[in-house]
Amino acid sequence: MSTSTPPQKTLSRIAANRLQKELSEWQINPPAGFKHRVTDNLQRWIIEVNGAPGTLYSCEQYQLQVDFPENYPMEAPQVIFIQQPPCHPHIYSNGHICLDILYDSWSPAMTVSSICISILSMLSSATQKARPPDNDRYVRNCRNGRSPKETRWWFHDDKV
Amino acid sequence: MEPILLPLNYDFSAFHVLLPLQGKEFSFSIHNVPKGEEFLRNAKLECNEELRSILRGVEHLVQERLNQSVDLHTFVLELKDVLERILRTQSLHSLPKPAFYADLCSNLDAVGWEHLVWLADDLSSLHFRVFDSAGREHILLIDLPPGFPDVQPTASANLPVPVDLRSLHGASLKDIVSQYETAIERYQEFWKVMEDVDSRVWVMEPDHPSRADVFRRIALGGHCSLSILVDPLSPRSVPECRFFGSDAFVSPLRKLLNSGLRKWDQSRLLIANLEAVLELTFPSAQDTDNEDMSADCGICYAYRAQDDPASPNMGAQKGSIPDRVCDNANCARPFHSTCLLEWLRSITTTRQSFDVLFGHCPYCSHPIAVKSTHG
Repeated sequence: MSTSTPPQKTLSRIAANRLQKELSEWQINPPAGFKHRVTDNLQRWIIEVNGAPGTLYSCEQYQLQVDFPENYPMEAPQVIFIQQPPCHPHIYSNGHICLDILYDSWSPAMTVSSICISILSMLSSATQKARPPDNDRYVRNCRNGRSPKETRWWFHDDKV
Repeated sequence: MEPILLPLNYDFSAFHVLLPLQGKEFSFSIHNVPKGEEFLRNAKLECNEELRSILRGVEHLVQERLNQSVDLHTFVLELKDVLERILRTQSLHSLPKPAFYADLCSNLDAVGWEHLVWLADDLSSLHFRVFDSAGREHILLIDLPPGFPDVQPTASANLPVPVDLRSLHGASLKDIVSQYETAIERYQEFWKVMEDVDSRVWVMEPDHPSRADVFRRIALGGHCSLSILVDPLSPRSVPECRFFGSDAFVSPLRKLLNSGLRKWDQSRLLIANLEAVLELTFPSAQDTDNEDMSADCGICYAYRAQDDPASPNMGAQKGSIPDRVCDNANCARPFHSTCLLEWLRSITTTRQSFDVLFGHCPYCSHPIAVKSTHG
């Protein structure tokens, strides 16, 4: 499983300050179904996801890796599933997620917490466990540890 | 200890000199030392700031001696002699005359020792404490020059209008303190009004208002605020007002302020008057939901803009506070202009016309514009 590391520059003061605040807000009020694994690295968060009860993914556990660019929140964080990604029509087998807010629709109004909620809602609304139809081709193209942020995404389906 | 002369080049025309003197080592260099000639006619002395400040006023003398010296060694010994003499007179100067101590004591007796709260180890400055008629504590800072009492001491105090506190009869500290007490009484009404402001409403700026501050920025709720400038000599009259926040919220308040001034009643305190004219109740810091009132920037989540690591010299001054608010009244998010500018610059949908960037609020997508000269 690739845990592609984007070329990381240290966080700017603005980014570090904002992430500190997001993290303390998370500790007081974490999004339901998520657990932040405590590390001393503010720039890479590892988050455990529990599939919502009553959905295809209930009782399943996955892991998200969130990497923040130095100029966060002007730029979106890179969010991928690590280890075994869930089988979902918008999640590639290399962990990349096809979700517009992670790319073109990112705005500084969003937070790690709101991203997590979007991902959980994306999982919860799935009607079948399947890989995206272009999974093999996409994963082959990403083999050199390419970041999903370099992909030109097509967000053709907003139902799932 | 003998001075040390180190040649700086092969033809022995420049030397570095280490001159030990009174437990210190002075270093300087001499250039253009002629070879095989008598007299250092064209020689030049180069020295550091410390030595230069000691030699200030006698530079021409030193240069003359240098050019008339037979050789380098003679000059260095002469310079040593000059330095010794200067340093001796300087150390005599730095101690005040005996009259200084006698005068200081009798002055403190006159003021009353109970007023003295702090005294510098070298007696160069002191703090007096006085209480005004309302029991407020005030601190007066006085700097004593070494020439005291012949030279007037300087005084500084936290007053809304700077006052030149000078003794009229010689250099009497008692005189300065009583002038200060008179000045304090002049602002009793002002401090009464400001204390009422500080205790009743949410003051966003300054962080810790001092007795000299005539400016307050008061939270109105919904990310809006009102800044007032109070006249310290007429604190109950209408202050200079400026509103910050979304137009939808602030425009009606502006109208009320302009039309409702006849309701202003000088027998009431300032906040009561503002509330009557603006027909609102200011939220207080205690009973306000932090989420609603938090005026942090919606992008960087900070109140004071973080300074950029690329320009560390900005660290001394505090960063700006959010000064741009989304005009959509339902959103009204505050932003630092600098943050908004950086965000609008980083996305491709932003349009620019002259120096103004047009884009959308990151929260509600309402159109928002910011000047690019801000950054």
